[in-house]
Amino acid sequence: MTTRPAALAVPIGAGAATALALGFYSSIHDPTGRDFVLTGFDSAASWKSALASITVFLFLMQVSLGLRMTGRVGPRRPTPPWAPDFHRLVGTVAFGVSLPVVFHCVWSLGYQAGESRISVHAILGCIAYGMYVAKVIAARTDDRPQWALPVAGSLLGILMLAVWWTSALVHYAGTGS
Amino acid sequence: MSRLAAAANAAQWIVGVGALAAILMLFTLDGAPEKDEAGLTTEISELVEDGRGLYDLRCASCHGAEGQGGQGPRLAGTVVINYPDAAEEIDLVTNGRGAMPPFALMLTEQEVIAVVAYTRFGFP
Repeated sequence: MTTRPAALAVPIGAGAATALALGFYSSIHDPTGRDFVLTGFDSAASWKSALASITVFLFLMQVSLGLRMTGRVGPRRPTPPWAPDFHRLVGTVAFGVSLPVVFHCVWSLGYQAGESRISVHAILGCIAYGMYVAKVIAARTDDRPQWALPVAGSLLGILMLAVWWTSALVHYAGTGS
Repeated sequence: MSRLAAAANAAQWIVGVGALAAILMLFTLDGAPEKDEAGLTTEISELVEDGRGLYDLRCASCHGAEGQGGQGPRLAGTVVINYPDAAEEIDLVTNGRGAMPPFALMLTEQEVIAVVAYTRFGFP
C-alpha cells in the first residue's frame, strides 16, 4: 500500500485540537479545589502519583514493545503473534489508568501559571494527551508513513515521562516515599 | 479472535466510555463554590453579614466602626497579615490576650467565627 505524509493531517489535527481543548478548558475553568481521596491513600497527591507512575511504566512498556515489533530494537527474530494485541491492551490500560489523574488535574486544579514546574507540567500534559489521540488515530490510518507510529509512540513515551517527572517524582522526592 | 484481542477490544470500549464520561463530568459536575463580586463564597458572605452586626455591637467601640483602630489596634487590612491563620484570630477573640478581653462568654463559637470573618473580609 502506498503511504503519504498528508494522511497524517487528520491525526495531527485531532491531536492538536485535543491538546488545545484541554489547555483552553483548564485555563478558563474555575478550579473547584475539591479533592477526592482513593481508599488506601492519604491524599490526592499520593494516589495521583501512584497512578501516574503506573501509567508511565505501562506507556514505556508499550513503546518498548512497539519498537521491538517494528524491528527497531531487540533481536531480529519476529515478535510472537500476540504482541500487537498485547501492545494495544497495555496502551489502553495505561490511558485508562491516567484518566482519574488528568480529571483531577483539570477539574480540581485547572491551569496554574504561578510556578514554572506546574506550568510546564500542565502544558506537557495537554500535549501528551494530544499526542495520544494523534497516535491512536494514526494507527487506524492505513496510508500513514511507516515512521509515523514509532515516532508518535516514542514522543508519547517521552512526554509521559516528562509529565510524571514534573509531578509524581517531585511528590516522591518531597515526601521521601 | 484470540482472547487477548478480545480483551484489548473490551478494554478499548471500557476506557473509551470512561473517557467520554470524564469529558461529560467536566461540564456537568458541580464546580467551584459560587462567589460574589468580592470573590467570596456564599458561605463566607453570609458569615461576614452575620459578623457585621456583632462587630458593631462588641468590637467597634475599641477597634473603630471601620476597623481603623482606636483604643484597640487597627484591624482593617492588618488582621490577615498579623494572623494569616484564621484559627489564631478565633483563639484570640475567644480567649483574649493582653488588653483584649475574652469573648467566650459573650459570643457563641459560631458568632466568634462570624466576627472574625467580618474583620478579615468585611471592612470597606
